[in-house]
Amino acid sequence: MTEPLLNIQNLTAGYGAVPVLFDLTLSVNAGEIVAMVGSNGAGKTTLLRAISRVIPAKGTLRFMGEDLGPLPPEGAFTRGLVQVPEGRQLFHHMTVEENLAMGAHLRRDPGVAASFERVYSLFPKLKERRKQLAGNMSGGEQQMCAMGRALMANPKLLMIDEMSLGLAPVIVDDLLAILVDIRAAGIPVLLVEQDVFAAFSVADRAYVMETGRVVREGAVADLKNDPAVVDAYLGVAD
Amino acid sequence: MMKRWTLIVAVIVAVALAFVPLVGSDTMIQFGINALLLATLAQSWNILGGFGGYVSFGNSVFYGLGTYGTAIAMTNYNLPFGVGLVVGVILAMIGAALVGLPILRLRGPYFAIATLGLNGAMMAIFSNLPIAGSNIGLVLPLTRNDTMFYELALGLLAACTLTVLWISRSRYGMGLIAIREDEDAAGTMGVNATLYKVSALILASIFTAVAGGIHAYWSTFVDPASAFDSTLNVRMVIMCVFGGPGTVFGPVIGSFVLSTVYEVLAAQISTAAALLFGFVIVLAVVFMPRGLADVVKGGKGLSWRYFIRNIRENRL
Repeated sequence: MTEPLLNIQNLTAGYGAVPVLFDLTLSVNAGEIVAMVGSNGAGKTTLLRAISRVIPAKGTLRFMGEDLGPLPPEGAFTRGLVQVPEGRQLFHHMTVEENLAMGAHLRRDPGVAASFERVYSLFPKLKERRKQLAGNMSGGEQQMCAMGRALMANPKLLMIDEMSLGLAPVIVDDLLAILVDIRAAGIPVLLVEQDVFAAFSVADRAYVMETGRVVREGAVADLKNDPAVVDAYLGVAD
Repeated sequence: MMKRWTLIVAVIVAVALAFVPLVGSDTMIQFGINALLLATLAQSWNILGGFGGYVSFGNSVFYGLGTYGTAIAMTNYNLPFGVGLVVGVILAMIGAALVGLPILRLRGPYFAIATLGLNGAMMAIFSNLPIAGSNIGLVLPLTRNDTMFYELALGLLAACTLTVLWISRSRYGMGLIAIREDEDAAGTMGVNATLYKVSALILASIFTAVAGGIHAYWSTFVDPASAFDSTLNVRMVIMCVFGGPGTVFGPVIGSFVLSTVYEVLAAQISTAAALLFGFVIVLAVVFMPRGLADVVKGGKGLSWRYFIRNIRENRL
């Protein structure tokens, strides 16, 4: 069996002496959307920070066959591990176009113009508003801009932290549909979410995290019928 | 993006300035040397302050290191002026790296506060260094050649401005701007913020130190109080902000305008000049907080509304 695109085994990470992630194993294969769900404080963002090499971690952490352990954060970024951060973190005083250009600022290949086209075709709204200041847009448009900016970096794996945060359900549905388009364009997605319903509606596989440990994993179709998951997260009353 | 005619005008102005010593009076050339050196200081402050958004009050330290590096090399070791400049630049670059690595971890006002102390510390150190003439200072060999100093200062300003022009168009500059706008977001976009900030400070220190070295040789005397003058740093900030931080020509125009205003005021009313100078700056901050460059960019559409809008937007 070939090694998955992102291969994490027995990962332990934390802040200083405080461990947050315990013995975590996770993988993302080409062409899939993987959801990582869990409540507040489960360690979801910490996991993304460990993958992005912002905090030190012990264990196996490999991406496209390469050990990420010794890399600096920008090293992980240039290898195609691109994050859409929680709370968007746009450059508010810059236009949408400038924000997108910022995503491509480390690229030296001639495909930047094509990437603009691709982002604009995925998010027609951004094309309409490309001269507008990012800070003046609605939350949903800002999230689109943040995702577009990440796509401009030509990611090999897109990691999205709390995509649905503070957004109306209708907008979240739009964004979920775009995730499917992104997967169709050949970019796998690791979606870190509190909104289990939303995450399960598009993901192929999912991991359920509690206090730094993976407690359930598998195909979404199976997890949806797992009584423990249904009870704890999907809140379906009998 | 920069319009082509801006560049053409800039080149014409630079060439015209190069011929000033042929026609100008001694006073005018001396004023020119000071104005050009100050413009260089404002322009190099612009690299980290304007593009990176880090307000530094420690740049005058690099000026002092450049001053003393040149002076020590020329007086104690009888080295030529060029070697003296190199010594000054190396001292300043080492200083920038040593100071930048720990202090650039601080953000916003905390960074500014930390840099405030540097100047005093350096002054205390150099006041007690026998090699630097302790409190008394050093006297450099006399050279009466104002034209040479003028052309050197002009060349330095041109080199510094070309560097800033390159920054404004490079991915390096984009990274600095990203840091200014949101440092965390810049990190997510793969910008190594520490590397960018420290290299910006080192780049600024190079030009600042050369300006200090030129001034030392020109004035033939250095002492701790004049080399590590904190008001000099305040002038860099004011001139850069007045002209337009984060722009290519703003700091140069701003410092030329302010140098002229100060010179005229000083000639007319001597002691009250500083007071009026302060008044000009307050008006500038209230009415054009984004600097002269932003006013000029408005072009024909400019009216009193622009200034009123600035007041409203900044809730004054």
